[in-house]
Amino acid sequence: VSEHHDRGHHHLPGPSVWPMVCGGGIALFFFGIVTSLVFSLVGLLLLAWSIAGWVGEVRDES
Amino acid sequence: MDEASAPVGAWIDRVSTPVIGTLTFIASEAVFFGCLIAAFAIYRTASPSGPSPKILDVGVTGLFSVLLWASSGTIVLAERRLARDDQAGFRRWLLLTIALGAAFLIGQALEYRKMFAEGIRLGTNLFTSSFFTLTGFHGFHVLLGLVALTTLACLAFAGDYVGGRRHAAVAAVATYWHFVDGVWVVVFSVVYLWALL
Repeated sequence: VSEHHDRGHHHLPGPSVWPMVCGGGIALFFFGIVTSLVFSLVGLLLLAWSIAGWVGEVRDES
Repeated sequence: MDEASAPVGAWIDRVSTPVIGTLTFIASEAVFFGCLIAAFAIYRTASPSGPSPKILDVGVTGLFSVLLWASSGTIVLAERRLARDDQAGFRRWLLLTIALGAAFLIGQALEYRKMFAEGIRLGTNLFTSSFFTLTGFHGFHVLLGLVALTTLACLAFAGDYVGGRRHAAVAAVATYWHFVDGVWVVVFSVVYLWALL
């Protein structure tokens, strides 16, 4: 039995906005590659922000 | 009930939720890679003129590939150190894994730079389109893996994994990293080794 769930009882993370921000950042990064690198830069910043927020949220949960 | 006749649920219950999520993600990625590999196999020699697989430097890419495959070994060693709660050893092998993955990406960047210098672009012909799409897609996965590994390293230095805490996160990232390394065996064989025949 893993550290995260007993038989039949699965731990699931709470609702979060960070996965959506992370996806938006990656999409913006690639949009910038074919348009302007400014979009890529904003995308990378969004990605970094979302990872920090997401990891922070998971750390607070556990 | 013996092991062979145990229901599927019994196996699932032994796997942590993060690893199940990663395996599900990998399943969808495998289909994506399969499509790109099939497209490359069809288009690699479909253009009557322009660059062909013969321009690829198999030896140099092979050397950088060995570094990537070695990183699968170092992350296993990192996990073993973590299982023994040897935090210093875990951090050391994790950093080496990151270094090996980064070295592979540098190798790919150098290969792309050499091709760009020769005027070879994504839209040059069908071979270059399928080559850059397939290897670039894989390189992006390596980059995402490096971001995940670096996040793990930061948390390791913050003491997040002391005393057996949050090991499932490490197992999930390691599973993804093995997939990235494993899929490169197929990509390298189809793109580079096939070019030697």
